Amino acid sequence: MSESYVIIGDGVAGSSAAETIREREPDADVIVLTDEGEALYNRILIKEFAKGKLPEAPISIHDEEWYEERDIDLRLNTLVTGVDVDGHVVHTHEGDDVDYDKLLVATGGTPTQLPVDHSDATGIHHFWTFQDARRIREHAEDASDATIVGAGLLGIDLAAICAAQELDAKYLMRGNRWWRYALSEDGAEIIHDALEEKGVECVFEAGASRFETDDDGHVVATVGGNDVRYDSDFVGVAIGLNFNVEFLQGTDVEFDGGVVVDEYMRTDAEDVYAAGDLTKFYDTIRGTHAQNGSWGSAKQQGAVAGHAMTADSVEDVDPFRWVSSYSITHFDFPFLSFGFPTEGDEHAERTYGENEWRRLAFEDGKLIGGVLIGNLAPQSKYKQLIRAEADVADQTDVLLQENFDLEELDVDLDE
Amino acid sequence: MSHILRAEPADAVAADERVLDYDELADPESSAFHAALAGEGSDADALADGVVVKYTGYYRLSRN
Repeated sequence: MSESYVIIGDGVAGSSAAETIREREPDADVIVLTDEGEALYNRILIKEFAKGKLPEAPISIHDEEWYEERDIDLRLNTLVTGVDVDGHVVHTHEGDDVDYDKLLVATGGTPTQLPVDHSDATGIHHFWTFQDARRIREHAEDASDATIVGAGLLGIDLAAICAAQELDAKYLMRGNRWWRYALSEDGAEIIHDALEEKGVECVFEAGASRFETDDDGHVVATVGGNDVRYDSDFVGVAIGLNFNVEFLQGTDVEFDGGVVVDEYMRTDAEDVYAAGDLTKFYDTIRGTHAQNGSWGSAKQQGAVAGHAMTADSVEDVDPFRWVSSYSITHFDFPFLSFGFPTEGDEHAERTYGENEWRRLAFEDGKLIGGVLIGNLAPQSKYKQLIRAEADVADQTDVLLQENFDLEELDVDLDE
Repeated sequence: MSHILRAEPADAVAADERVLDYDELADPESSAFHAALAGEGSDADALADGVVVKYTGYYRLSRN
């Protein structure tokens, strides 16, 4: 039986794995390496802190005592620089070598920087860590004009933060609507109106081609196409994530837009697992590899990895089989995406009233995802249909009823 | 005796309160939360007394 488990990353995936491993292996060495200076915190709630709505304390999930109680060796401010897969050794920036029997990579991602002039200027923020949230909150409290770039799920957080901090904000979107691959114009209009009500101006077919700075290197303006200039002493950029996998270069670990793993979180390299946002996992529901980062998904992947790493055989392990969901709670109405709303070969949508809209995505006749605005109660039924791989694309008359019962569907719900 | 779960809007959150985002609720918990929001209550044990849930606003859960 393996005795030494090393986990790189103390986000929810790594932490979930550490907890699972300790529960199953009371006497094993469990080491968690993180390049952050603090233990697990609530990445979902840091936007509320950045808005000024929450103090710091509720954001922290684990303190050092949590690790001590479980005899987990947490090493903060430790950057992993390489892995010797054959030798089962992890190398750190301080020159330390950490041996392992089983290794979990749960390092997540780092926000992508815009490849334009002065994109690293002071006052230009990316938003991923608690430390980012602290900087954003401090700066936003003194700033006046903001631009936000990135018309997706992280960009809207930045827009909401600017609104809460009462900045004069412009949200630059490359297309004609927010999250254009998941929302139709009808659905996106609800979001645009809600942003405008909060004082965020939506600017479509727009982006940042460069930034202007003052003599101190602080951003003063965002310049878009056709040299349109927006005054901005605060900029938020959310255009994607680069996964933190540089240290895996030279190993057998396959990377294909994400670290490729099977349904037990195993990579191609012996005794190396991966979990969390950076995985390209085998989705047993759709029968293909997929990527879908979310808190709940990462937590579950960590638990599966922890179980698989400590099991005699994966036959004893419940594989990862999960329907992701991601909610936005900035507005008076709720918003939730589930599954894979941007994919599929068939879609159906309906508007139910003001700020109430729904869109479903199907693949080969089966529900694979969707977006709900205004009424989130049906989400558990939709997720159940996804897990059951139910062939329901021809029953949208029932599926899109404001309230429906699963019994109304002609479907087998065995999951 | 069943204990009905209630969700009351909260204007502020104290530093020592436990806060969960809606995204952290598992399916049984989110169903219980929606029932509580609708005033229909729930005797499910899925959600703890005193927890604050960040939804469209902040909601403090209580059982009585």
